[in-house]
Amino acid sequence: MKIASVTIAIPVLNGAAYLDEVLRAVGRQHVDIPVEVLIVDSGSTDGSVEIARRLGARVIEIPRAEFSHGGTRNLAIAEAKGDAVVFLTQDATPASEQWLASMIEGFAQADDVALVFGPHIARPGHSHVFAREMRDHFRTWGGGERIDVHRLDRSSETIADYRRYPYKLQFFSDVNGAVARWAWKQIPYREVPYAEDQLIAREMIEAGYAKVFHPGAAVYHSHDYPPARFLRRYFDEFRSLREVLGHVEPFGLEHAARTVFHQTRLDREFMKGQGMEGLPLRRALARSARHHAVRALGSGLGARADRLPAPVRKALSLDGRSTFSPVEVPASPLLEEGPLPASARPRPRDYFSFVRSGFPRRPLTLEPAPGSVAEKESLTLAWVLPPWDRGSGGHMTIFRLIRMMEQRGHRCSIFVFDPSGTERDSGEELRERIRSGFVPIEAQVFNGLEYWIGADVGIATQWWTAYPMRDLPGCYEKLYLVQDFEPAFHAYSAEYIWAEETYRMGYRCVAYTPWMARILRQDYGLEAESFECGTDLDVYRFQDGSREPATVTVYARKETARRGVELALSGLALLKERRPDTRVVLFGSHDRPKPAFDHVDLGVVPPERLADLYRRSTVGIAFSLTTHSLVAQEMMASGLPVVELAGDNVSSALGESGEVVLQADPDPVSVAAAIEALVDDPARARAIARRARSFVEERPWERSGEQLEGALRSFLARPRDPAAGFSREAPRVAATLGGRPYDRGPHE
Amino acid sequence: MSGEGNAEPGIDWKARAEDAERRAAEAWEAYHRIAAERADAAHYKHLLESREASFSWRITAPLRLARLVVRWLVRKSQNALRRR
Repeated sequence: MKIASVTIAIPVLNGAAYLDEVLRAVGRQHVDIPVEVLIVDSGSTDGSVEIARRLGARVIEIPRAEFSHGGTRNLAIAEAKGDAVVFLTQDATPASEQWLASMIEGFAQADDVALVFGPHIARPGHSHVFAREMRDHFRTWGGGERIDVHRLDRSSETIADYRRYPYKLQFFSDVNGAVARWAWKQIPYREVPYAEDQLIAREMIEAGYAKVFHPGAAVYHSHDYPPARFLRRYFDEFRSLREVLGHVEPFGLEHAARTVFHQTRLDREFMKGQGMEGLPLRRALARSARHHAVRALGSGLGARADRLPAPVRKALSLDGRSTFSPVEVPASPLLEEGPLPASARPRPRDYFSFVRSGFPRRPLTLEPAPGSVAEKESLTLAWVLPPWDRGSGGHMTIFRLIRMMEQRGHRCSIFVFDPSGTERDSGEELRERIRSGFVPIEAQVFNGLEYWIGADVGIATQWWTAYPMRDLPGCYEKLYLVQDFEPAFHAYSAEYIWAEETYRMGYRCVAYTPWMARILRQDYGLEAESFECGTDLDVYRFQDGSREPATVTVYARKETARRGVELALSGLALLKERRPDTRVVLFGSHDRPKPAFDHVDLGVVPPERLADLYRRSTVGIAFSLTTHSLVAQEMMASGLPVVELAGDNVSSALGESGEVVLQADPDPVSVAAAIEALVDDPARARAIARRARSFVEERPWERSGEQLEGALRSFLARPRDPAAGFSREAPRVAATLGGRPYDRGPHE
Repeated sequence: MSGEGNAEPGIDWKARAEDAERRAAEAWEAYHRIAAERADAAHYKHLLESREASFSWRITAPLRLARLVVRWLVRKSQNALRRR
């Protein structure tokens, strides 16, 4: 923004020591626009006003009691005639004749520049400690050597950076800094006793304005006090920072020792670079250590002034102030709240906060998709997953699908959404866990959603993840990978209702098995395609030969109620009464079931050992009351004839009973009869096993990837069906309770 | 303004669009790679800060400080002996 006139404003109180020098340096500036010099004096008695008037400054005199750092600067800007007001303090001397031109050049960097500031240089003769500290401090912006324009865009990444390290964007010093009048009209100084510059910078940055560091706008500014005076100054400074910004400087013996050691070492490098060595260096280092120790003590005490008695505060204060008075300032909405939707920010120890912030109902957040997105050769896919345990079957399917998508040329990223806050591993550690324990994916993995920026398609993979995914920004399409009817994982309960609610959010779904897709279409009115899962044929090799007699291997994962373990064990108990020689081998559970007949329980078994067990057994049992288990397919791949439960969920995926599995009605007698039929008729069992092997061979993981990609492209290519989307009026209780329609009417 | 009316002959717009899409996808991938590194750095920083803020860490602080001092003294005395 072009600045047509400028005001240099200096609040003064007994500043005669440097004021003459400061004003003369101001007078030597080379600029070709009108310059006004304005002094706001709050009751000087040392001749400061006379110096200012003599050197041509306009002077405004205010009573000392009316002075405040924020309020007085507001007064100065209100009185100033310039488009921009450059603030100096009474002891900050412009270091060159280009100081003011540099400030003006800072505003010219962009139309939205609200603040410009320059570096401070230690005054000649002052301690090396300040020279080094100032140099290092101002290297934060543009390396201390380049013009640095910074602003806070609203990307997740920038906001995440800002939250972690707000200082870089928030820092502004009106010891030597300029404010654009247009920006000040929108966001004036807060009338606070201290840290007014940090506050105005925070508010302007968060409002989206730009701030500029210009290395040419340097001033000489430093203080050289005896140690006791420094202690009291730091006490005042950090008490005020605590009162205004709530900043609490770390304090403690170890912290102080580390700080002193670290800072002194930096001073040593600095002084060595200046050619100092020997005794002078050691003496200077002693002064450094003393200064840093004094600073650590003063800052630590100041930040904890509320815990000190008033007389102690008064004694420690350079201003002689005995009070501790926190100041109400507006909270930073970005530092407090953040850019991610509330449902995407689980709170520790508040497990269902994501559900709470998921209401009231609202439609999916989607970006308008360009027509070409369906034809893109390489899509970007961002997957949100719940945390996992080693060996989780559902996650194995997801990771295999991700790998399939990668192999088909798409780019994937994985975000782990953990509402319990118990997943402590870093993204890289999680990635290694996936690569070593599941599938060698290429995708980057993130613990949490902080770094989310969106993708062509966002994919929710489980009911928790559907809540944050609904509100996450930056996606043309959102897909829900539904592996099972998850409400049924819970008793009819709050979790049941919340899981079911995800089917009313308007996602387009890709479901495991046609049965699941049909539920989503028919009961919830969603657009749903289906996919089938593959089997690892390298591990689960076919065995057509002899098997151990009457050995029944049972997937007895008791923790997963939908596996119907009690039903399997009841059937086996009947069978054992009739045929005591039947050998029963259980596997798959940490929480081992204890049937009342003799058996072997192998617990959780690695795949290779499991494959061997399948190849030796006579009959396999892997029941599914919802979508069928991949364990059944692995048994089928190994040539083990399988008994499943009869039901549409199984037959829609595996065909009619006797084709590739034998299906039993869900009662103990039928289960026992089915097992017995396979044990007694090896030829029939072998025929089923061969057909089963062909069945899984026709369904490799590549086919699953093809089906998923096909569904994705099909969704992207056609507009959303308005009738299949989100509805605020959808029923709020179970649609399929007990397997039948339930409460379909309007609900208040 | 009609895009077709301004189409320059001989320019393969489809190839250009595909190239732009490919570059956008590469940038997306690069962002996630860099963001993953940053997330890891923030994770370990947080771990360190949590540990240093713990009660056990704070009560054992004097021991670590003493160890630092002893090591420094040992190093100094070794250097002094070496100089002799």
